[in-house]
Amino acid sequence: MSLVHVALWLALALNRSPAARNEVPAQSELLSPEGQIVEELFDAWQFEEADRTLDSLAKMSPGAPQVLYLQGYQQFLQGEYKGAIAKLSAARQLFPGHRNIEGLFALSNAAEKAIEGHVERRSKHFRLRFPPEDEVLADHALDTLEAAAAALKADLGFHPHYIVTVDLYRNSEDLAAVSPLTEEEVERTGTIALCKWARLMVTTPRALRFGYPWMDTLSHEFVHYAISSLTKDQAPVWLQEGLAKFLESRWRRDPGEPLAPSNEHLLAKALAANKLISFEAMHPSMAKLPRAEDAALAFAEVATTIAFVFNEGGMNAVKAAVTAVGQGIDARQAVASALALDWPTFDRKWRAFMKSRNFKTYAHLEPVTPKFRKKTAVASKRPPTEDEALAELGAGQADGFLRLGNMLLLRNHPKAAVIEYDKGAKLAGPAHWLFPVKLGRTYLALREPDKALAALGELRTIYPELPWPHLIAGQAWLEKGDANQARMALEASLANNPFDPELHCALANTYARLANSDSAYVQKRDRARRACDKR
Amino acid sequence: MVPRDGIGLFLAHARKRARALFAVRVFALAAMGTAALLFLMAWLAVHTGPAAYWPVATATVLLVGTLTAAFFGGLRPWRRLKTDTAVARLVGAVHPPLASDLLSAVQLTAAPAPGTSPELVAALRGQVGGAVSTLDVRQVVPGRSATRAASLAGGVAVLLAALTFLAPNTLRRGLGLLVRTPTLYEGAAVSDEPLVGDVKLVYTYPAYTGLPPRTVEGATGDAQAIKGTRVDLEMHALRRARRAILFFGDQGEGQQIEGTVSGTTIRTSFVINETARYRIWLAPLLGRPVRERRGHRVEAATDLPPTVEIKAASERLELASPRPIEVGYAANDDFGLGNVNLVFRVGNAPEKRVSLATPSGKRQAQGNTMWDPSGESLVPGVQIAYWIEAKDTDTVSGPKTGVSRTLYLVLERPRENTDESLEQQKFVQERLLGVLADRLEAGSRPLGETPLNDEFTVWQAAHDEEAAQVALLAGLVDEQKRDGGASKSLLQALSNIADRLNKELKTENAALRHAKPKAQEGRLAASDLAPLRHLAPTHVKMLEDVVLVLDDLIGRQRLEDLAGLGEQLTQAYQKLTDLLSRYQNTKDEALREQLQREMQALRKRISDLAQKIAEVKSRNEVGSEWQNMPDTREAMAKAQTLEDLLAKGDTDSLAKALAELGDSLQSLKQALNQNADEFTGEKFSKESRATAELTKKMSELEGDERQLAQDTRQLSEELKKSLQERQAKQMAEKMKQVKAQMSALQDSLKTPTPKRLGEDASDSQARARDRASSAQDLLQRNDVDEARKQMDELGQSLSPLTKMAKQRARKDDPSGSMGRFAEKMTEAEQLAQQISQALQDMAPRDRDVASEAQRQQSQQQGARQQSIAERTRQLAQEARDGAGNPGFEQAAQGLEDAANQMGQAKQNLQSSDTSDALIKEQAAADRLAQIREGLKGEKMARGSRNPDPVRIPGADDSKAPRAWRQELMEAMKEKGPENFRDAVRRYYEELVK
Repeated sequence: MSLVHVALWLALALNRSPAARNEVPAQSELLSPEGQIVEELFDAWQFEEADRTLDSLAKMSPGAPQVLYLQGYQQFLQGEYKGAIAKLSAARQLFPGHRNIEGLFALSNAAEKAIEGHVERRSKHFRLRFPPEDEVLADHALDTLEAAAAALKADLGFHPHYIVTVDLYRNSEDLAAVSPLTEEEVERTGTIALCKWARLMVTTPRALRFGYPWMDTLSHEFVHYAISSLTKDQAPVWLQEGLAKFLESRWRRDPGEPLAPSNEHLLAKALAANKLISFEAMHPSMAKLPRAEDAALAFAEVATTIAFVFNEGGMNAVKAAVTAVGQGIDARQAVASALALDWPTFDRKWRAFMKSRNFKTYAHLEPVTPKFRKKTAVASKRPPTEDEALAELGAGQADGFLRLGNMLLLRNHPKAAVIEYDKGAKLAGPAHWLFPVKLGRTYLALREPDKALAALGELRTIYPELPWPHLIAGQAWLEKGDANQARMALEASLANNPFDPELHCALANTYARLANSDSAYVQKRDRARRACDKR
Repeated sequence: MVPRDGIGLFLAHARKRARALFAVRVFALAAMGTAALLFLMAWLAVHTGPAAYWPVATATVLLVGTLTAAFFGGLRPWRRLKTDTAVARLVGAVHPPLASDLLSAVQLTAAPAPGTSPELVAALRGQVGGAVSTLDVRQVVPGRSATRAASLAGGVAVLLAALTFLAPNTLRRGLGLLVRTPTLYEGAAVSDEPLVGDVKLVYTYPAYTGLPPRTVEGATGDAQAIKGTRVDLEMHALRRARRAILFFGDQGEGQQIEGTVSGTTIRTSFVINETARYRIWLAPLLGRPVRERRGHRVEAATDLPPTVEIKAASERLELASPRPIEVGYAANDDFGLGNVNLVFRVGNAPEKRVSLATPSGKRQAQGNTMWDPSGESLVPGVQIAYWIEAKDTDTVSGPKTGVSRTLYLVLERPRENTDESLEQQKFVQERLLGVLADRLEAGSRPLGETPLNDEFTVWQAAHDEEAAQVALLAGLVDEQKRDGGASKSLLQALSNIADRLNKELKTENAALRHAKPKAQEGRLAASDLAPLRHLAPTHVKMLEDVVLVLDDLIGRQRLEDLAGLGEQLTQAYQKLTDLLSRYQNTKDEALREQLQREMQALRKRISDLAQKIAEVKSRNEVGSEWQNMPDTREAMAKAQTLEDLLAKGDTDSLAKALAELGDSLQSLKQALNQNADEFTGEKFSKESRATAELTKKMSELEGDERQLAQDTRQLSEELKKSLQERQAKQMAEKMKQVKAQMSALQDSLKTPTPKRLGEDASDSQARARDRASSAQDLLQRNDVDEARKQMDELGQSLSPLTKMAKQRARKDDPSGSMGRFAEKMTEAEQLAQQISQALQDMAPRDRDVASEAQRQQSQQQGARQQSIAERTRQLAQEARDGAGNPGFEQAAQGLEDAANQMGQAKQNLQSSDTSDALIKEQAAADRLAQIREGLKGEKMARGSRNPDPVRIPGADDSKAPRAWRQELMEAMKEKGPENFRDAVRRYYEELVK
């Protein structure tokens, strides 16, 4: 989607004044043919070439309205909103009422407003702007992104021309304000991040009830950035999301990570019922799907598509498909061609591939979909806690036992708390993950790590996106003296919710033990200790 | 010269004694006579009254008595005893043996006969001298007669003294009359017959009363009017006179007012300042003046102070925070109202006044005001006394003030009370949680794992601890009930908790009692503990419920308390906005200082809120989801900025900074409210559902009632139109009839009052005549309502007279003048009643004009109204059944009120009184709306700030439709049209009920 279309769409969505809409001069009046080329290059993420052309244009007619507009666009894409606003203001003076200028001006202002009071931190390729209260994730985020950049360079040969802007938003409202989505759409579909206009727009994990796999999400959005650049923004949504999903874990592991149980569960059910989401339905955005579960299923489908390509042709095939799309070849054809197949054959083989994986359903699995916290909760700047999940779980009568257990635990009656949690767990059934978490915590309080791990059972496997099972397991392993197991569990927790001070303390202790034998953990230990000390 | 020998000395002594004795005797007799005469004259004067001759007669008596005494007691004896010869003769008369010799010796010495030997004379003198030297002068000049006279005088004096003792006043008055020249009044002859006739009185009332002058023809001369009224009299003298005077006072001792006499017409005037009597005094062309024996009564009617009523939600309001209070008032004065003020006194501070109305002479003022005491410096616990004060416009005696009863407003100590109560609840919850933990752990251990005695001790300790907490909770409930501040639903919830636990404890106690002796003896068997273990699960379940309920109650109170603080902040902000606006207009330094104080107070409040929020979080009193409190730092920073700007004097930026602060405080309030509401909605969902259900049903009822009111309005307007047409036709005819009755009444009242009934009866009849005359004047001015009042009063005042006349007639003179008089008075009384009724009927009601179809329509509406009323009563019962929910009990009461109003409306509709029905229907609908709104803001925490004004329950009950009300008000101002007068009166009667 070109910027112009988005701007127009936004203007209509925001119900701009009819006068403004009626009086807009035609676009051609603003842009010369050269100017149009620059705009198209920006729209197609061809920033290097666009910048070169714009420089020549600016030398020829500095201060011209089209130059001011295009320079504003350039600054906007570079994340320099104030500069963009200044340029666009000047352009508005010279060329009042033009829809492109007006649309971009509105976007720049919205973007600037959404990061008001944010703090900036940079790495080699990235610039992260985040709310001050989220500082604890900044270094981890940049590390993740740099790791992702390195992986993508290796896999797809991508290197960003601009320093990539990453804006972290406080809530869904801010995300909606800077995106083409409405707040209702954001909340309904659980959309937490977007990649558009050469920047990553991400909602802080603080805004969600259970946090979310924010590190993978950052990486996921950066894959979009890369694919948009490599394909001149010609990749369809299914391909974009398939690649992003498949490659999102590349910052931390080799390609080919198995699907998460919730995705596997959804996919297994859809395959059994033959209710896969069609690629067409994924257009224009996964976020436009009616339910968060549909979006999750769609992600699972497209991830398996790329996994199939990778499985059959390795990373080269993946890269070839991307390159072909960038050359203007139809995405289906490009993907099929990468495996030297036609599309029907590809489709048949892909479905056979999915079936061959024997995806299983999980009897008591309740897929964890991103749920935004209440606005008051976000405004309070408190980190998400497992107790906030209580209302979400709807454990009915078991709620009471949960509350009683909590009260008893808080007042140092852990044995009594265990009894109450047990009662709740029996009443609520295996689908409710909160009781095992609570039991795990209580056993930790009783210094019984084995019982804590036993209480967690399969939770970590079934719900890898929940931070607390990982945290409790990490603490239990630490208690048992197994620092390596503890590190893995705690880092998994960190990847979902970095705001729990307990986590950082446990990490600090874990890294401290590991640092004795491996100096690579010293920096991590110190970082975790600082976060722990800020409790 | 007589030689001073023995005879000479003897005679000198005798002369002196004789003269003295004469004087004593004469003066005693004279004094006795004069005194007796004066007493006699005094007695006569008392009986004859003052007269000009009494002083003359008195002076004459005194002069004559004195002169007589002086002559006979002084001069005459002096002259008579001037010579020795006279003395010798006097002595000789008393003592004959010496008479000749003594006389000879005196005569021979004084005038010796020729040839008388001097020696012989000397010798005789010597011999007689020797003889007299042995005599006592008292013997030769005895004092018997003087003594007798003195005794007689003394006796008379005793007699007079006795009389004086017996009738001192009479004597004093009589003696006074003897020496005083009488006044014109006193000097006049007294006439039993009237001296004047055809008396015409013109009353000119004080300007402030606004009353027009009133003329009374054919009056008796009695006058009755408000103080300060000038009365002009014009009368016909029944005898020729050259001078006429009105003497006020029973004895003419008051003022005297000269009249002008022109032929037989006398004119004069006076101002009524006090109740008195006056008599007419006439001086004829010749002869003694004459005055009336019976006076004319002048009655100064009192201008009463205004009567003032006040109405508020309660006699004594106890509020958690200052809120506007609806105060209703109604003031009436007999002539005109001045200012009407709301007066209040905060603690012992001086009174303050808020002007409510300046009726500018109107007789009634009423209304409702929303008084907001929050502008005062109020501290928790302070008592504010408030009342309504109304002054009248009396410029004669000075404005009089009427005051209503005093109501009180007490500002609770919400913060302390809430905190204290919550601390206690929290304490109980914590302890119960401990008991729960002990019971859970004890019950989870296999029997026998712990020594039996130890286990028994655990159960006993848990039991004792739980019992202590139940007692504590019960005490808390009692305390709160006494204190009166906690919500009923909270108290009920806490009572339920105590009751439920108590029941469990009783059951457990039996098991413990059974095991205890064995435990003490150390022979406890597992079977002895089995009953306790058997009871444990039920008990634990109960404890679990209780702990959770307490937790929810505490959480709700805490969050509502915080929301209340947020509300307070926005109220304080509002106050700041007002102050700033006033300051910017006036640049008043005092206002600036007040602003500064208010800002400091606001910052303190924000700081308190922040602290409260921190406490709630740290105590973990609500689940983490409800700990999402807003950050107060932004508001605090903005408040600080505002204060800095004010200190710098940067008034231009103040408004903007204040607006920013307002936004910040508003969002704080909203966040806190939302948090509290969501908590209540989730944790007390049953209660919320019940409230929602009740509210919904009330909305339906309200809708039905408003629809009915709309239909009734339509019918009422149709009837009103018919009414006006019919009134116009009937008015003239009825008025003619009334005037004829009035004339007959006046004739009846002219019947002379029999003297035997006394002066009071005469006065009563005269007053009745005056009222009849006044009513006739009023009718001529079409003041029907006032005329009717006069008729009512006339009837009431005439009733005792008629009764008395009838009794006397039955006893003495059934067919004579007394009987005729009684008959006439009875007739007059009946006429007065008939006229009053006729005047009342001049404003016919709806039912009098409704057609058959309209009657049916009204009946149908009545049936609808009955159905709605029944549903309302049913809902009231439902609300009563759910009285545990906050606000339900009040709602039940309110619904009953509304149902009663609907019942009245139904009766009105059944008798086709649609206009009255409409008022009641609207009032009922408004009442329903009011209850519905009240339910919305119902809170459990006593510290919650309810920003809504404290309204008078059912204050709108008498709220008439706006247009109708306006019409009435206009009618009041304009004193007409008459057809509304009765309606107006009824309206105000309703208002002050």
